[in-house]
Amino acid sequence: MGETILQVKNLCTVLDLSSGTVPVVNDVSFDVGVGETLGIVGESGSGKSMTALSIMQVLPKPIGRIASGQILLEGTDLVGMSNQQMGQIRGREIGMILQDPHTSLNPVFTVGNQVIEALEINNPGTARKTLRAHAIDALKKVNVADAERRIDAYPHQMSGGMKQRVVGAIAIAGAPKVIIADEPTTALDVTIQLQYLQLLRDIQDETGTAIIFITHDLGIVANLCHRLVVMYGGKIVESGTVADVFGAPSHPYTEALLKSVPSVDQKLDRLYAIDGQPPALISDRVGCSFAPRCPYALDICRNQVPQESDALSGAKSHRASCWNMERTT
Amino acid sequence: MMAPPILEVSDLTRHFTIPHGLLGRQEHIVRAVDKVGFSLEHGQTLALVGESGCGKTTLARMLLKLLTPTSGTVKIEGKDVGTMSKAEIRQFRTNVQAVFQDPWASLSPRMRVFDIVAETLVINDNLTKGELTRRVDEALIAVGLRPDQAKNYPHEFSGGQRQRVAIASAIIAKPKLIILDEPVSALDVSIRSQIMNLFKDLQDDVGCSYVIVAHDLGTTRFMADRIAVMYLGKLVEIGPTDDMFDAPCHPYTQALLSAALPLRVGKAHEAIVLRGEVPSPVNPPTGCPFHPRCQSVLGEICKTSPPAPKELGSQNHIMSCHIDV
Amino acid sequence: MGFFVMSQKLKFMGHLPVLPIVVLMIVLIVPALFADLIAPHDPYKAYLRNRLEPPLFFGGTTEFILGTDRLGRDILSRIMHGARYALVISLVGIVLGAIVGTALGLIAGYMRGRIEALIMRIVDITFALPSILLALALASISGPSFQLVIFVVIFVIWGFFARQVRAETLILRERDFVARARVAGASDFRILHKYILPNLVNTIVVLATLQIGVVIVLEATLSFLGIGIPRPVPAWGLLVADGRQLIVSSWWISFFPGMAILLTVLSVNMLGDSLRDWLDPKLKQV
Repeated sequence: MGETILQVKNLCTVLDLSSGTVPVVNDVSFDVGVGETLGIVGESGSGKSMTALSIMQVLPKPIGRIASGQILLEGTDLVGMSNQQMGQIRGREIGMILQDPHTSLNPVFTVGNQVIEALEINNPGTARKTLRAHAIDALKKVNVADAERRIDAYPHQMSGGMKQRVVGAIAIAGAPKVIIADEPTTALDVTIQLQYLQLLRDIQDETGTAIIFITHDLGIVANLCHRLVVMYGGKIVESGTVADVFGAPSHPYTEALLKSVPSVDQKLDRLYAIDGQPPALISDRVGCSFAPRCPYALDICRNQVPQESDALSGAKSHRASCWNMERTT
Repeated sequence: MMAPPILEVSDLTRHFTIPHGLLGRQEHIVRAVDKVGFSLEHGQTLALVGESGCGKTTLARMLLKLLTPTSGTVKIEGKDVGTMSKAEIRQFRTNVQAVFQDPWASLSPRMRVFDIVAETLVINDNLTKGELTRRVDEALIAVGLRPDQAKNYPHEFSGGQRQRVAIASAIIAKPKLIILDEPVSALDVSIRSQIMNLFKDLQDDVGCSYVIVAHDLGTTRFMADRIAVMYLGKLVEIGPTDDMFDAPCHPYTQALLSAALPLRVGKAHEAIVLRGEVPSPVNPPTGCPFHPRCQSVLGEICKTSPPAPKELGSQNHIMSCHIDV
Repeated sequence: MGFFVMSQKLKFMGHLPVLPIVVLMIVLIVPALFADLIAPHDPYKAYLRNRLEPPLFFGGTTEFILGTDRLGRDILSRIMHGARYALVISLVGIVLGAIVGTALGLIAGYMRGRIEALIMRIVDITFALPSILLALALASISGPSFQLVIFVVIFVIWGFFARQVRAETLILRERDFVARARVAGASDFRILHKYILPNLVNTIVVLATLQIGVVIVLEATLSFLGIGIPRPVPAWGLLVADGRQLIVSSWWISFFPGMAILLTVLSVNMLGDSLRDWLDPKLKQV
């Protein structure tokens, strides 16, 4: 893959709740390169969405804030930037696609209006007519059929899949270096999802945009992403290329997650299930946050937070945080 | 004499009229469910699979007598649901239960778990307090919860636990048929397997039948004995699970199954990417509803004439398509 | 000002601001309950030698802290006794209005169709009719009385409840837990009273609290116009009316009862807002 374009270093994001300050992203580090798709996998409470919000600096105010760490976009640290400076970055260098297509678009403006607005931010001073032509092209690029007519449609006149494509058009309007997609296909039908993933692949092939794809769906990760990080309880528990992680899952959570996905290839009698449930937001846990549910937990796991080390595949880039990768009992 | 199947649906149709035009004078007819027919034997599971607008939710509601069909019949153990007497409807309510998708909206926030779980019995039977408590405890244990949790309110539980409460309230009356409407879609991935195993265990213990509406194909493969694929209100293919997965015949079924992304890395997945959007049920295409997007469309015939269902080789494998298989 | 801001941070039960509660207790609740015990004078007793006495700090004495009126009656005692009527009328009026409004709102929202349309049109008519004119008309027939005031209050209030309850019922009836209740075989009546109504309680309570201000002002207005609570009861509106002619020279006669009304309404509204903010997140859980 190409050179690194976004680097997250030791990011710690917290929520200042009335019951205390709670870490939701706990010392998270990863990077994405040009033309690469990085998957962030996790369930509710894992911190994956908060990580995305942190990068875009759109944490819920006033309770959310970045406590420490760096977010380097081509070397420039985004943490601590003023709202105005971030405004220049958002929508231009970093584009965002969120989960719910129905609330991502402003219902009182036409679709064309919203795309034009996005284009205008990046081409200030351009004539309206030119922008409109660009907008039609943008819609065509994301495979919105009948773009010349659709440009004047309102969001509620479009299906979820089409709306999500318009959101995609807006996201790429600024020729961003990185697109952050937070579960963009979860609300879409499965055949529409397929179209959408192909669209993202095409965009990436054409422009070299890096994509950070946040999801809980391992099937998507297997088919779309080059590398992934697995998050649990606010921390990254495993990271590496998709081939390495899927081939030799080193953290028990990754292993359990892969095993518990019901197979489409054969009829099973019973599914592999992980006991218990993902940790709630507020937990003063000592030791590994997965220990209560881990079938391989040792005493040390309950007392000390695991250090990151080389994982089972042997590849340099494959890392996991587990005391018991050998699975001793 | 063989016992009648637990569920028998014939020519089931449900139309909605949507006012349209300047003063709402004109009407659009939405054929949400269009002449659907199938049957389900005791102890078996049928999956209803399809995407938005296919009508599976409307169909599920008709099976639960929450919606009246425009035409066609639903028969539970041979008795037509539409013509049941009051006493028979009481019996129906204990025999046919449901678990819905959203664990947060399924339980009334103002009721204790005990009351939620006991409700079907309270309404339809006349049990003493002691008997009721015994049954509630039984149901809670069966779903993996503790009887002492019965005094709590729903908001004190996690999503997976709330779904268990919903399941407990569904099984307490020992129903013969349970309609599962996307029962695990709203749950975390690591919780889904727990709940699905629970469904399987209950079926093994009690012998109930399920109609499961699901969009996740892995879940479907695990749970179902038979699969019915719907598109724009019509049943396009129905057959035994293994046959449907290993050798799907209808082009839509093939596309749908190929959209399930496998966990295999390395080998590129050959997915059939359909063209266009899922059409709105308000303005369905002429002829075969799938023809505008079909990857194997034959031509004029698909555009003009709706395909009739035809039986394929094995038991109860039926498909509606002009293609000769 | 600083005290005001600080008191906003002080929360009773962690959610409700303390200052409005304290004010309400002082101005409305304690006098309403204990006026007989704590009022310095008999509200009806006319001290003819102390007529039009100004309040303390404005040339008055500690005998009549807030001054006296035209007949030498102690303003403070009259306000304290009047609190009872303000409290009772608002409580009775709101409770009855809430019952009527909730019942009709439930039926409208649940039954839909023509019944809903009918009820909502009646609500619209209720809002369109000027309540004061109605009160005037009724008073001219039967004379001012408690029953009249309560009737007018119910007439004005029930529509707010009906509208809000109907809107929430429309949402609640589509919820999965109502579908489940039907699947369990629950009758419509059972669904309404066991499933929908309990989930409306928050809304109704907040609405009721916010309406108290409306009702108190309504009662005061009616009394001020002479068609509300009949004399010689020291209802707050009447007290304000008493000082109308002498507003320039003996301003305290109208001023202090007016302040009592103002403080009560302000406090109740602040409480209502906080109550709504507190209960609202739980509302979202439905």
